[in-house]
Amino acid sequence: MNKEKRLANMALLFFATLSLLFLILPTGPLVRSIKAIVSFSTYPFINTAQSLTEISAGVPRNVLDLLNTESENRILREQARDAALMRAQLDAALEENRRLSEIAGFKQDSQWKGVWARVVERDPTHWNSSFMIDRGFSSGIELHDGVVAIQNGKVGLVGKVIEVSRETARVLLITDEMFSVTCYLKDHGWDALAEGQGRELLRLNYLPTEAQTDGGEVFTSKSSVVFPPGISIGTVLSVHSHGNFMTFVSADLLPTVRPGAVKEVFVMKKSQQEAQ
Amino acid sequence: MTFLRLVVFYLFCVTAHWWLGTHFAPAGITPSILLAATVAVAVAAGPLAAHAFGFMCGVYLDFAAPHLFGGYALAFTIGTYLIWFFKWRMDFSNPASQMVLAFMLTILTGVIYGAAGMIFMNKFIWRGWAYTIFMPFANAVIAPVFFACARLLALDSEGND
Repeated sequence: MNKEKRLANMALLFFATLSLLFLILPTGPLVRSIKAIVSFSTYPFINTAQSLTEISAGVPRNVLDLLNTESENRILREQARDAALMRAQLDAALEENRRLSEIAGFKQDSQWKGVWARVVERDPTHWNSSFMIDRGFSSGIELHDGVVAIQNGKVGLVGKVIEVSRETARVLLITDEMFSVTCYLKDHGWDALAEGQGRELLRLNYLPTEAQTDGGEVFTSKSSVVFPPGISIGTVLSVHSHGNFMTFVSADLLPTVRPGAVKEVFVMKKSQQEAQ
Repeated sequence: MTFLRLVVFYLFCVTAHWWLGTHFAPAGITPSILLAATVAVAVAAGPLAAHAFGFMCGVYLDFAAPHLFGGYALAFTIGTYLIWFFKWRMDFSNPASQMVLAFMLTILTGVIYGAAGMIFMNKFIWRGWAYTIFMPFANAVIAPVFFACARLLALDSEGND
């Protein structure tokens, strides 16, 4: 018993020290390397399990017609997705054009370039914070690339890339408490800051005190350094006043795309946007 | 042999945790298999194996977490130690006490992780009411299954380390 107690104390000391070291070390090369090793070791495992899940959920292999229908359906879905993305790009370009014709001197933005990726890992303890996708720097993804998705035929902002390994990347979701993006209200042109709250709704801060914008749609702003302008973020649900002494009001924002429900995302490659 | 069984059990739990979270999470909430497994192993296995298992489960969750790296590893290590400390004083052989244990540990790890956020990020990491209310019950419900698995794998404490 005494020997076991000594062993338990030593184990606690060792593993707690190791954990504290992980916490204390800056999120620099060492921690990133550890995460990359864990990612490298678990990804093949997760990928195999994902393939098995898909095989077990698929139709019998001898029914060729059904297989063809399934593959055709998949191609059509991809085309529909691309069409929705193009439509959103056109809407964004038209909106951008309208504003640019009013304000001279701004360079016209290019179309979004990037890659589609599947969500391959979510953790219930961080449902509104992040997920992992099956594309990494081998597909040209870089840190801080913007991520969008399509839901109910609408394209909306999902988050940005915060970690990249060879075959995977981690996306910080717009609903995370550490996420914020400068945005503007389409109907009024007011700039504001959309911030995650760790739950499904976002918070829209720094709106002018006279703002009454229930139902208004919010887009990424030209002043955002990470995201191209004109991506839909969400719709204003209700405006909250903080009393007479505050110089701004805030609002609840319902995201256009619920990050917790997306299966596939489009990663916009920043390098390609900048190159154009 | 116990080490190999633990490694297999760990890989099974990680895969099950990933699968459940990725493919079956109504409203974004699903029980934490890794926490239930940690509780079961902490009771069944010897101190070194239990702490290593708890630590590794925490590391996997940290890998999935966007902010604090090491927060879950610390929370699970402390949780494992407390379970090991109390297992000599309490009877965890029946499902009811196992469920209570999983319920308490879920709350405890949440508090430790949140407190780690306060220390290292100046912000208590709050994961929402739905998670806080539902998760302890969900983990409590699945805990006896993992105690049974630990018994099946014969991870008894005597002489394992």
